[in-house]
Amino acid sequence: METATAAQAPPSYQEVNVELLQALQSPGRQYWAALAFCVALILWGAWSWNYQLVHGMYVYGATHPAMWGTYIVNFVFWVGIAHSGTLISAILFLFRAQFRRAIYRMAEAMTVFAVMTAGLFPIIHVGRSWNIYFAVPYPNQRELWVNFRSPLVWDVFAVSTYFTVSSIFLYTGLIPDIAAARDRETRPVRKFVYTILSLGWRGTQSEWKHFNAAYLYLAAFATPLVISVHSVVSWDFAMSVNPGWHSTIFAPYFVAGAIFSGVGLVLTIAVPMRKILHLERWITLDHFDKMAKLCLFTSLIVGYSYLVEFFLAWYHGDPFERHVFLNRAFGPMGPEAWIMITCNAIIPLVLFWKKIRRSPWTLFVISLFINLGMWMERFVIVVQSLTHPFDPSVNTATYHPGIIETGIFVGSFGWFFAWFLLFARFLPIMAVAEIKEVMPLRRGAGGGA
Amino acid sequence: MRPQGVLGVFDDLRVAAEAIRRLKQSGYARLEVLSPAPHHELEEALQPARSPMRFVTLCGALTGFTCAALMTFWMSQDWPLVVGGKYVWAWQAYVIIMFELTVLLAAIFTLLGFIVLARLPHTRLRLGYDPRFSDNRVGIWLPLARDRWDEAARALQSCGAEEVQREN
Repeated sequence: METATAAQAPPSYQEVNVELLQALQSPGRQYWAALAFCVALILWGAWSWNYQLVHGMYVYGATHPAMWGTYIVNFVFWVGIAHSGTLISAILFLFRAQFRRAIYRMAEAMTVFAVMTAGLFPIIHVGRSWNIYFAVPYPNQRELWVNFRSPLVWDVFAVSTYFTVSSIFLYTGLIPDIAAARDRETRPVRKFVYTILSLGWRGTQSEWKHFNAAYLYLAAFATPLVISVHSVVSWDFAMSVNPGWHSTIFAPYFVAGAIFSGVGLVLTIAVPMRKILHLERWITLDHFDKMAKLCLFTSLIVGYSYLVEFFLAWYHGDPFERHVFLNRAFGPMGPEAWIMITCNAIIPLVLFWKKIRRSPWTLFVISLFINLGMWMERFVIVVQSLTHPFDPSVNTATYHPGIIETGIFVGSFGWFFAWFLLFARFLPIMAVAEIKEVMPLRRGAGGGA
Repeated sequence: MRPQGVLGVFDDLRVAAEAIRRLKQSGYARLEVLSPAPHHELEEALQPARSPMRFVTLCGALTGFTCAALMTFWMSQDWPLVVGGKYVWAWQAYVIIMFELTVLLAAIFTLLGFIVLARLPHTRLRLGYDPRFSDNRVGIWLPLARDRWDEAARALQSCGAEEVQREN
């Protein structure tokens, strides 16, 4: 029904500006309540981190051999979330997939904030967080350099590059839209800030020409970057010889999982956002349909990877590897593993039905399961493998998140969503110029005034 | 000299594109077209030269790659960590650093190149701009000396401009 309404009345250029930039006007109480809630979560997380800094790493429940507890699980989870943004904005741009226009800004902003969230976890996890700069090669008195053979150093480069490039990509795309916001703005402070941020953009053909070229090359470089970043994260695991980790499938498996979880979170955000900001006309059921297909496709890859992992464990006959996978399915961490399989490989199969793909709130519920399942996947990969090393003496070890990790985990959600809410309030959440690009500007035909 | 000229405001893309063609034929070589979004119609009418952005991006990519290669090899040599009797220059591992810095510098050069090539930033919008150009109008700005204004205004009107403004 919603698509029928949109089809009957093609939007005009002016309506694009009015409706898509209205989120920049004063928000309602709901907005402030949501922001206050996020800030409360951040405070909870900040208190937990502070407690850990003051009392030392013993408050973090991870002990030998599972030294990577929830922090690294969260790191991988948030880096994964960050992947859909660049997928939607860069890869789908290169493939000329038109449906990206309505959602890519949202996804791109999500990318930047998710990387900002992910980046916190290594800082928290090192314990002496004030020394994190040791990870960067810088000239120092001791004449030491970082070890470029370590996957952890690759990660420093991959994640910081990803953050910078996705921020540049987001900002470049925003420039014409900030100019549109500037021209509509009446409040002097905001007008001044938009004027600065839009760099005095006027929309001359020369500006558009260079803009389009820059955007194309940024997309061309961001595409391999997306794939490389989660591959590098997967090599944090796969480069070691730990049973359950040392596998060549890890890179594609992680990349597919990252895109899957990222699109899942885009759905989690887009469905309520569409309702709150009245974007039904712009984010249509067709968009949801296509995003759901993307979810389904990546879910099938993830499901296939689960099967292959089990098959390989059986096929290459290493008793340690076999033990880890048998234990994964039927050991004490079985429930987590089965939640992961159910949420990531079984529930998304309902997306084969068109009716479900076109029902936003059903998709919202499915996306929550996907988020849960993908977090569990990382938990299983990190903790279950670490508690089963080659050393049999520690094979009874286990790990469960304690109160401090929970606080920091919850705080990370507050941190992510607070940034997102602020973004939606101060910068255009919809790509105004890109939506206009495919609309005709015609005198008296609804396109013009 | 302060920029001055005549500005035509159009509410139809096809009319604006046709106006560009006609104005160019009439000898108005210097014209600037402003629009809320990039449109092929305007691009086809203007026939602009290709953006040299690709060279900027390529320079960034090569700089990033070279810096990363020099950094990894030199730092490994400067502090040699021999692990398992393997070579100090473990170039296979360095490929990742080289790739990341290639992308990083390419992106930074692209952003800076875009700002320089598009002659941004300027905090004051110059003459020949109207806030409607980020909304629902296309503008054609003819930077001309005052003695040619009337002639240019007539030309814009005959091309179907909704509104003509003289600015100085």
